Amino acid sequence: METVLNRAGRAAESVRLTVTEKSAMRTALIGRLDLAASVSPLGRLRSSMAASWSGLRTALRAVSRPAMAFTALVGLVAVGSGTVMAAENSLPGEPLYSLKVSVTEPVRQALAVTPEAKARWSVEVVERRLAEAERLDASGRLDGQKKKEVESRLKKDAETATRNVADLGRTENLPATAAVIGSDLEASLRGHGQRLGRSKTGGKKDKEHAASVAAVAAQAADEAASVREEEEKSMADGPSVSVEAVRARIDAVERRIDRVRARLDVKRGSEGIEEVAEAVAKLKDAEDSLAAGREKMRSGDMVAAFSLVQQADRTAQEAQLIVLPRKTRETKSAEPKKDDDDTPKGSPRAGRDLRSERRGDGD
Amino acid sequence: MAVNPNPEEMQVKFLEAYEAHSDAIFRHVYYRVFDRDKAKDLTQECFVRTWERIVGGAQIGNFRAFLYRTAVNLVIDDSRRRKAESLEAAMENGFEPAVLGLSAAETAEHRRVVAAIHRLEPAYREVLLMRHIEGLGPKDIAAALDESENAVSVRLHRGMAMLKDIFNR
Repeated sequence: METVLNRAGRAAESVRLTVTEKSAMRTALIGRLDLAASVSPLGRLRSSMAASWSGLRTALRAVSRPAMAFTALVGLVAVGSGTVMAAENSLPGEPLYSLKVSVTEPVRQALAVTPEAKARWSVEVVERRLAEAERLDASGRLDGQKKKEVESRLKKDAETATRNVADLGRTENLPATAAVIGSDLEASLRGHGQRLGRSKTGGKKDKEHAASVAAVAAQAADEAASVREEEEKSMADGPSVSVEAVRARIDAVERRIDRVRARLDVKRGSEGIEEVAEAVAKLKDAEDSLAAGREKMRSGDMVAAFSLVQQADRTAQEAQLIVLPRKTRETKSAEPKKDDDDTPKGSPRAGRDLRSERRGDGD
Repeated sequence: MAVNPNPEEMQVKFLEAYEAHSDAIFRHVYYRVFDRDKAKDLTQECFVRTWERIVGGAQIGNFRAFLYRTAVNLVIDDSRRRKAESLEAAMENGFEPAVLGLSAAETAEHRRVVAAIHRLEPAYREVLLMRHIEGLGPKDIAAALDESENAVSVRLHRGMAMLKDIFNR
């Protein structure tokens, strides 16, 4: 009888709400919730001042520097730190924006000497473009001309980032590292794109502009996803990902999920309950993917485990971006993002693939 | 009227509870009312009532237990409002437990098991459904039914004996 009942229980697991039904019910429940959700500032985007000067100090201590970077450095020193800081916060259409994209960003690019650092920096540039688009939209300044500029830069920078990630995987033979960086790129593009797509700022035209930029971001996300998937496939062809690497990623994703959850609990400002509900749903999806990844790790399929953990991370990042406030005055710094630093202790040095940590992995 | 000290936090916890338990609550209701649309309505009502209690100041520590208690009461209320239909009658009218991926023989066995459980008295039916169809442990069943774990264990044991008898006839 026990066996028959166990079979019945397993069969009953498939009796559940469909995705559509669950979503519809969630929407209906949200309509009944009394409290207006308010989203508080989520994690400060750092002032670029410390980053700019950190970059300058590093450059001055360097043994050799590319000529372009040196010229740009001279330019930065000439304009002064206050101007550099103001430029870092500037948006398309503002006077200092050209200083930002033509001087400070190339300096930072030149300082990224390893292929991994180059790939990471190019992803950060894409995140800057996305943040600029959101800030313009939030302040009602995403007019037709700026929209064109934003889309053009975003497309170009996303292509550069995707190419750098692909190079990291193929040319440098670091597919796991490339998969991680590519996953971050994809999550940023999707998450920010979704935020722009949900824009409530301004009239019909403003929303159309935001939606247009969102579409560019979505397409770039799809391209980034293709590269990321290729890297994950090539991981299956090579030596297995180490258990340590998978565990390190799991720990990092768990920390991210905990941070997002903690921020969900804080009193919020401008985001609606729909966004909070969506973030909660995404966190659940992230946890489910993470659990599936742990299962694969336990069963010894490290490549599948890695891929699932990556998926969990992307979903958690999308949840994180949902609750990020729309109006931010700061931009991300060049320093390692201490609040968001998911790099686990003892992670491979730049240039060595995550697979290469074979110490003690039982192989 | 008591007010939750941190309503936004409760709101997030409530939404998390929805994501975590809506399927289970739906399954619980579905295996009692034999109607998918009705099951969805009662599931939604279960969460609405839970939220109303939160707004009214209830401090809910164990969301799962609270949701199950609410669902149990909703099903009881529903069966009183309408003429309760036996599972056999429902199946004669075309109801099929909506399980996926089963062969014809497995589906027939599943129907037989569910029908057999439904022939038990409500007290035994409830604990056996929760234990074997919904996968809850005695502790969770006790929390959901607001009874002692010992009482639940005794009822499970006795209910199994009766079920064996019915199933093997």
